[in-house]
Amino acid sequence: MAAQPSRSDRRELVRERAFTAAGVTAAVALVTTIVLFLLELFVTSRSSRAAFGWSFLWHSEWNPVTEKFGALPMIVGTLVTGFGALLISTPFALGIAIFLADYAGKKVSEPVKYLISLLGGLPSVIFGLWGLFVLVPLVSKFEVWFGKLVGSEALVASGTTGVGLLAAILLLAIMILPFSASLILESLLVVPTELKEGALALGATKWDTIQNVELPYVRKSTVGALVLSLGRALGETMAVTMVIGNGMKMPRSLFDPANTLASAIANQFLEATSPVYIASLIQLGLILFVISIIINIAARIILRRGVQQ
Amino acid sequence: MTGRKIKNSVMGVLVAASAVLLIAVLAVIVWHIFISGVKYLNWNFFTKAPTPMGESGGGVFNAIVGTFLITLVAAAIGTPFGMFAGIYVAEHRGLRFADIVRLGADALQGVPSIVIGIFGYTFLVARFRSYSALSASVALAFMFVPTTARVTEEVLNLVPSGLKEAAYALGARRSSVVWNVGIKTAAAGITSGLLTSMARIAGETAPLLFTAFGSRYVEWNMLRPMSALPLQIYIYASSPYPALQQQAWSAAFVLVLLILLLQYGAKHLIARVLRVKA
Amino acid sequence: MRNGRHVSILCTMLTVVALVTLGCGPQGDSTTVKELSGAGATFPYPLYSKMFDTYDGITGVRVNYNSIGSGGGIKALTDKTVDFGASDAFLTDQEEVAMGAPVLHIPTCVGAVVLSYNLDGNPALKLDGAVTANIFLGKVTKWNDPSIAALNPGLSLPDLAITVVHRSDGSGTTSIFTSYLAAVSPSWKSTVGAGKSVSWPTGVGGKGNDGVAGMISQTKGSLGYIELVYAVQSSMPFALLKNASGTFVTPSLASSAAAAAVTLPDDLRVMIVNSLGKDAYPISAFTWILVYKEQNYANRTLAQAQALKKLLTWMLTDGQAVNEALSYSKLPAPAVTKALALVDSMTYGGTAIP
Repeated sequence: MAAQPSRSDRRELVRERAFTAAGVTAAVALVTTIVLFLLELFVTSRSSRAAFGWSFLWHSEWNPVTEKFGALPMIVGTLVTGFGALLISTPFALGIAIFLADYAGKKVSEPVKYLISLLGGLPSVIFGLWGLFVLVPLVSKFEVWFGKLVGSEALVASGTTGVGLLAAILLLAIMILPFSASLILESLLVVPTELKEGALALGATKWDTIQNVELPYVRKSTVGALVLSLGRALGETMAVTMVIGNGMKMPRSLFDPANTLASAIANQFLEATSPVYIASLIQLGLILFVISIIINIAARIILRRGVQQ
Repeated sequence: MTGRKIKNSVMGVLVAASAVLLIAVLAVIVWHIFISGVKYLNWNFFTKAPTPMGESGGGVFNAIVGTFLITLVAAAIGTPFGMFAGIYVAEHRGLRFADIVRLGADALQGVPSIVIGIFGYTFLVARFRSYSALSASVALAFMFVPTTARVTEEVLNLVPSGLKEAAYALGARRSSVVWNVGIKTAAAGITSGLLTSMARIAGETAPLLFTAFGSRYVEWNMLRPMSALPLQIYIYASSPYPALQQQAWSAAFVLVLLILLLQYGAKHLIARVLRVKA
Repeated sequence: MRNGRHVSILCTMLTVVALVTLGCGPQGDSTTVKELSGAGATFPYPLYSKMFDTYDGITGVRVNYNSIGSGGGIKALTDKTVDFGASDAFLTDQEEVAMGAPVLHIPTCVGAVVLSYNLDGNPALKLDGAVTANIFLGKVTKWNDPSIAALNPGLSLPDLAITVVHRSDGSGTTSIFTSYLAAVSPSWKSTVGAGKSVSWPTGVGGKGNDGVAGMISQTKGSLGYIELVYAVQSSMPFALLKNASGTFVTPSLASSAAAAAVTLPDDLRVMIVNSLGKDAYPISAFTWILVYKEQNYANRTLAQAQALKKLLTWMLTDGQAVNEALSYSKLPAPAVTKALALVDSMTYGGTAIP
């Protein structure tokens, strides 16, 4: 029996090889995809770089008639909405995560966790729909009220639409909240119970323990979670496109209509006719792609360090 | 009460309040979708394609068919890649290339959907000179693969290592260990991952804008332009016709229901894996 | 090991679905084409969607038309991803070059762009070219501005800011409107110019005719430009406009047809804004379907070319009956004759299409 490999042995050998090959192929394909993306975006956006070079990044005119394209308004729009949303949602995300990790019993935390995953699973276009018909009218009312408060007629006027940076920031804050909350929660749950119990035994209040033991323990992974959430907010497309107002000018206040890199592409890509115009839009995509790759990898590295600690 | 104790209670109230706020926001959104969505549902909505602009009646059957076809074909294309990449990473832990693949999956997961849309256009639509549902499926597969790979890997890691070691000790090859021990124990988990990934891509709009393109007709041919629920919601939401805006809400309701169903299936299966493990 | 079945069942299901749907492939033989696709202008979208629905009923040929804007239509035809493009602006020289081959401009109707607004009580508003240009330049910012009041004696306009709403996408409607502003206002012509998308001095953007109409209907004090039929269908008010001969004209079928009563060139590439006729509504324009003159490109079959030619011929003849019911003017008879001649000039492999 040992001299001749049995039939089932040979079949197993073939399967072993096929299996390894499939695994390697899939793994290679996955990595190749990213390179392919980068190459395709890089090649198809050439003529924009040829025409504008690096100045594309800091020129603030986006004019399809004269074919002058600069990405600054969109870069600003992307950063303002991304960081704005992060700023608003972070305290809530932390609060929710701490509540679920340390305050709520299982009976409360399980359904709440389920609700969070539900909110996180809603498609972007549905947030956009809700934003457009529910949030935007509210923002509009707020703008008018605020405009009257500070005596700015321009604000009262712009408030009549409600679409703009502020609506986009608020909507994004809601959208990334479940994401960052569940990531922070995950890291809070791995804080060793002995540490917490030790502190409590020493007479610390619950909040003392959280503040002095837990939060320092999860500092790194929280930063990682927030960076990851930021990455999400920066690349978010449909919901932002529907409420940001599609202004191509440099926004001067939070109430101005604006564009992010993603929303500018969503709005203009199908109708751009001249080669430079198309290439410039793809160039926006390339910028967005590079930013999101960097942010993602950075966040994962921070997260992994946080866990190893 | 000391300052510390006051602070303790105040912070307790604050964190509870943030949880309540989250639930309130979710409730408001779901309530709107439910109320506005259900109001305009009727039989035509599910069975008819849209009528010409400005005429009443008509539904989103074209988009429902489109969402099913595009999502299923995307899953069919993406599943082998995602699953095998996940298995590869799980089985070659510690290998430098496996780390790179995992990082690649993470990075790909973070690629904004609009960028995938551009890629779908320049790489497929412009090249083959036709908008098509198939190009949309391929674009969505790029989102499906990394999610599936990560979930597969995570689930395989849940498989008790004792089981695998026992199998190796009995002289089993790696493929049969992975297949018979790993995959079979984790099968429900992987299926659950596939459902989760499907739930994710079923709601995607941006990759469809430049690929599936939309169609007023009920289309079964993957090589033709096709509509899908998220696309229809986007187009109807920005139209000035109240009738179409109402249909956008109803379509949103149907889409959310579909996604919840997929997620429920996924959760149910995960619960089973955990039970098996226990 | 019951669980093992989940994966295999799911995988099998997915594979079957994939094979079935891919197997469906391009249906039928190549001699009958049952599907055509087009994309472009939102301006004639209500008309086309009705026309194509009727055409489907008569011939069983489904025409899938997506209104993504005139710029989008031109791009789609340039990339050869559709059978025809649709645009409210004729091709610029640069766009013609990008097409790589001669393109025919087939007009299908005359449309009007109206100035729609959202004011309490829907007062009947009168405007002229200069004031409109100043509003869109951001020089006139209030509804109670003296220049508006001068055109509207007896109307009490509110002390409310004017929110200008314009298109955010590349659009033929924008091209028509800005061509008009450039024709009536030298300062508009020198600072902004005319085109499918321009750098707007002020205002907010809405996507498509429908996006702009939607934004106007949601915004108090707004003023925007949309295609007549969108205003009619969504019951939005629109302004009377002073034309080149000094009369205030309501946009309508008759007044936009009057604008088209000019001598037309054979290729029908002509702007009819600020037309001189006494009853002519000044922001009127043709909207065109764009097709390649030579239909044998990118592996197209003769059958496709024939189906396209039949469709275009129908749109210019029987299909015109749809126009007036939807507030689009029928093409004037001389325009139809010239347009049919253009359709007949389409070729496949150098010879006329049978």
